[in-house]
Amino acid sequence: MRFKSASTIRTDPYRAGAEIGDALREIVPEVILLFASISYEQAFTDLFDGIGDSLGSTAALIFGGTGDGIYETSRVSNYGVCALGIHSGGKLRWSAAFEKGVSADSYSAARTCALKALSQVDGQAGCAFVLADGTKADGSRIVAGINSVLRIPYFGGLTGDDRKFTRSRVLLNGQGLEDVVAILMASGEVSHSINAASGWSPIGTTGIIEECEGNSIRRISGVSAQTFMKEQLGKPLGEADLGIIPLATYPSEGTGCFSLRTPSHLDPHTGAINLFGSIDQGTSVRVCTATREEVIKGVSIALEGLNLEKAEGIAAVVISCAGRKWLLEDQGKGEVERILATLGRKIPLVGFPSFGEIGPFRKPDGTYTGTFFHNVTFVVCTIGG
Amino acid sequence: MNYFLLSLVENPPPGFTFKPFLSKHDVRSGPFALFSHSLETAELRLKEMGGFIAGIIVTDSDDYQWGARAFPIFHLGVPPSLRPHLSALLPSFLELLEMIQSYWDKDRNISLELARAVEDRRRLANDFARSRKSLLEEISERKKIKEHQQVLSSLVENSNDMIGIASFDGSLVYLNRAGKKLVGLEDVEDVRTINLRELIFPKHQSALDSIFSALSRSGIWRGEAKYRHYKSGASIPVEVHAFVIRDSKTDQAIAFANISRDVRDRKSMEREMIKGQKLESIGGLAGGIAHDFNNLLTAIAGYVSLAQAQASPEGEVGKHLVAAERTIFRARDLTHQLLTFSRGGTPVKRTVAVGELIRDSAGLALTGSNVRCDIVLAPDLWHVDVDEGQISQVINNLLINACQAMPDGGVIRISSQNETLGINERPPLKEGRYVRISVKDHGIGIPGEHLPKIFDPYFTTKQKGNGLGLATSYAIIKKHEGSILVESKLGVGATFHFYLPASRNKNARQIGPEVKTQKGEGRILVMDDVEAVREVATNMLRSLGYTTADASDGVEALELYRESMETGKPFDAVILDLTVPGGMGGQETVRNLLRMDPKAKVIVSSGYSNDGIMADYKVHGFSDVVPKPYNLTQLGDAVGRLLSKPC
Repeated sequence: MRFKSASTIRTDPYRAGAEIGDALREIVPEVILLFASISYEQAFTDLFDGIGDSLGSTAALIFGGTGDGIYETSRVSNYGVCALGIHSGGKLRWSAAFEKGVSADSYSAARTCALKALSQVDGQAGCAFVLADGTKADGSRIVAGINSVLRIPYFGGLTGDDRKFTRSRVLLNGQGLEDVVAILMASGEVSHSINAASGWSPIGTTGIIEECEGNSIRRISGVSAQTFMKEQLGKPLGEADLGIIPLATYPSEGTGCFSLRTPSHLDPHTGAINLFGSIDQGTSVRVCTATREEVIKGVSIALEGLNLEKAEGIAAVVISCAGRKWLLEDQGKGEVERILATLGRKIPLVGFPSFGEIGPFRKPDGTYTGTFFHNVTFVVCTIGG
Repeated sequence: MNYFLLSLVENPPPGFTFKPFLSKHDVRSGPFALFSHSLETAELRLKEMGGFIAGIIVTDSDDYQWGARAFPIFHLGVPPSLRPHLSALLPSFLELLEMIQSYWDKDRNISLELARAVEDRRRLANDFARSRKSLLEEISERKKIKEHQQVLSSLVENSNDMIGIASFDGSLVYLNRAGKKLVGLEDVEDVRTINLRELIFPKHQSALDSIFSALSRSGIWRGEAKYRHYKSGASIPVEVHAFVIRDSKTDQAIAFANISRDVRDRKSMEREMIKGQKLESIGGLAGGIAHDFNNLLTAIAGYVSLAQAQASPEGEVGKHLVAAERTIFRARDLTHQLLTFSRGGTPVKRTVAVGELIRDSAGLALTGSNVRCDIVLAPDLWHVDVDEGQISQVINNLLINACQAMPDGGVIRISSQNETLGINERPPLKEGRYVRISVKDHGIGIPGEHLPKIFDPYFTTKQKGNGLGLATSYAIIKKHEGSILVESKLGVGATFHFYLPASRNKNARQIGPEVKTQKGEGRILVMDDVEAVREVATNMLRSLGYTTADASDGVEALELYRESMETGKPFDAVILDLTVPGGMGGQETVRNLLRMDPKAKVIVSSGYSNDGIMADYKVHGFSDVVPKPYNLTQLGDAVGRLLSKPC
């Protein structure tokens, strides 16, 4: 397989696309993973036109989305476009599907989309990449819907904007789509490795969610959700903690691992906390804390869990979190630096800070836990090798 | 601002697309090529669309990669003569294009970053304001909680009871000031180094385990226990209320709290009370016996008295009768001792000067002994309201004990001083003014184990002793609302202190000798349920010159009195016994008598002081009192005194 990454901060969508296409042309990509900042929304078609004009062809399947910035081997930026061109030499069969209506019913939309994508590869999915509109979708329900269909570990994230939480796009074959979930599926012998880690550690006592609705938690272990977090943290939860101070949630499958949920809104009257992503009643939760260093270390933990036996000729796709970026205050450069230091400075790498991450935990024996929806987590997938 | 490039070529290259018309999209997306006849037309056209000419490129079409760039360029025809000149002056198209595009991108990126920074700053400012508000509220609430905690902490620290917290392995976590003082841990810097088991006697360790078990089961334990003083090892009886402290979230028991109250004073008071009750019950029995015995003594004393009146004092019979009378009055003293600590031993009080009382009593008690008495009295001693006979008895008892403690002789020091006692001082008396009298000897001392029992009735270590002296003294002082204490060291001696309330009266009654036997005349009615007493009383009265009548109870006495009034031969005086078992006693009789005859003169007589009637006889309607047993002189004195008073 051949990979090439490229990025540009050209603000003109067409010229940006042309530059990207120009960079990827040499490997004749079958698929292009494309991530752009929301600033290009004025003319996504021009972006695609630029790519197409530069490649001299519109045959490549372009799959991507908007995020709070871009990550690429040579660049980390708040604004720009990055892309990873993939050429499998015909070894992989690709399919892409999308389904609208995540705002109304994320579970059904995700499930339908997964079935569509799966049908296009005759049910033989080797690897899957998921994106959904982060301003409209419920990430927990997206994952639940896909889990009801897919039996393979998969990764992805929720698209976003520049932390305004107003609009985002999933980019698929010439269109910038809203209110959708989309899946890119590869069928065939695709060597890949996925892992997730955050760097946050649970503290305090475990609480049980006693009262919740959707993504709103009202009561935990006899007290309001805000009171519970205040008692555990030793300080009241503030607006500054939104998107950053997470709860570790323990799934019922008892893997011992936890996925994080960060608060998105505090209700001062009821003491309820809204999360980025819904949660089930009866879930065990613990408050988490981390220093900046520990958050960065989460990247190393994620990378350490990957299968890097064949590190030559691989590419990496990174889905980080807008909340991590906000906390680290370095646009994500620290995270990319860790990756390059571990995987090599020339590795083709793309990614973006999302509004929610999707991915499994890779166990030491090489198997995977189920795929979960995360907040403030670093998900990495290496492909090829 | 959009930038547009002009390319001046004579002939555009093949494949080049001319746009004869401009659209707004073209203008926005520029740069692009515009075919126009003249520069002015082009400028006008561009201006309408909001654009302007950025630059003019002069190039040879062969040098430029038109197809690859696909950037339409504005073409303007210029005279060939100008072409080389302009080409030399202007940068190449590509360079200019790059420059403009870079500038454009930079400008746009800066705008985006600036907008983002402003937005972030605004968000941070809002977050900060909200966080600050909630933190200030939190701080305010924590201050209130801290103040409340300080109040509670102060209450706990200043409590008179011991309040402590310990973990279930016994390690102390906290102990308040009173607790530290109680168990002797005031000097221990950190009580957390102490285990509760160090404050419990070894024999009680298993009991402590049982208490822990009870706490684990029920969460609470109440009872009495004993701590071991950390320094001295002394036993400290306490009342304990222990309860479990639970984690508010998990409800797990994490420690236990213990509130202990020192009950030493209460125990001491209980012992005093039990002692008092014991004395009371003994006294009740003794009083009953003394009463009956007194009646018999009255009869004996009366007959001896009558016989003495008829016998010659120098003759053998007279001498025997004197000896008999002395013995009778010694027997009377014994019954008085019994009566004193019985319920009925109410002192008949008068205001006396303490110094005089001490001197008289001391002089009498030490007559014929090898012990000298040293009396030290403070100046201006307050007077006291006392029954002189009883207080003399107390001084007498104490001096006798002191003498017996110094068989080889020595000096007994009696001292007295005024004292004003406050609340909670020793001895435990009401706040007020007192006179303290101390009797100190240098005898063998009293063993420590005897000290708590020394005032118990019949307790004695002497071979010849009835064990009533100190018990009687104790009862007398108690009835005078005072207190008696003892201090002693073996081999050094003993000191008895007793406190008497100071009198408000400034004038004291002089202690003087008895009035001599008086004879008289008149009609006297004697009422007593004991025949022997009636008989001897009437005989004694007749020997003194009175005519008599007698009755066995109050009813009979009233009948006789009425008859005497009706017959015109009224009685001049009536002597009534106070206690008539099964009949009308003296108190009820005198009330009825006075209704019948308000001027009736009535003497009360009893060997059993009952509720202070003998002490406050006037209040109850009596005119005088003569305690039993009485001799001829005492009876004659009382009747003579009464009859000499005007009606």
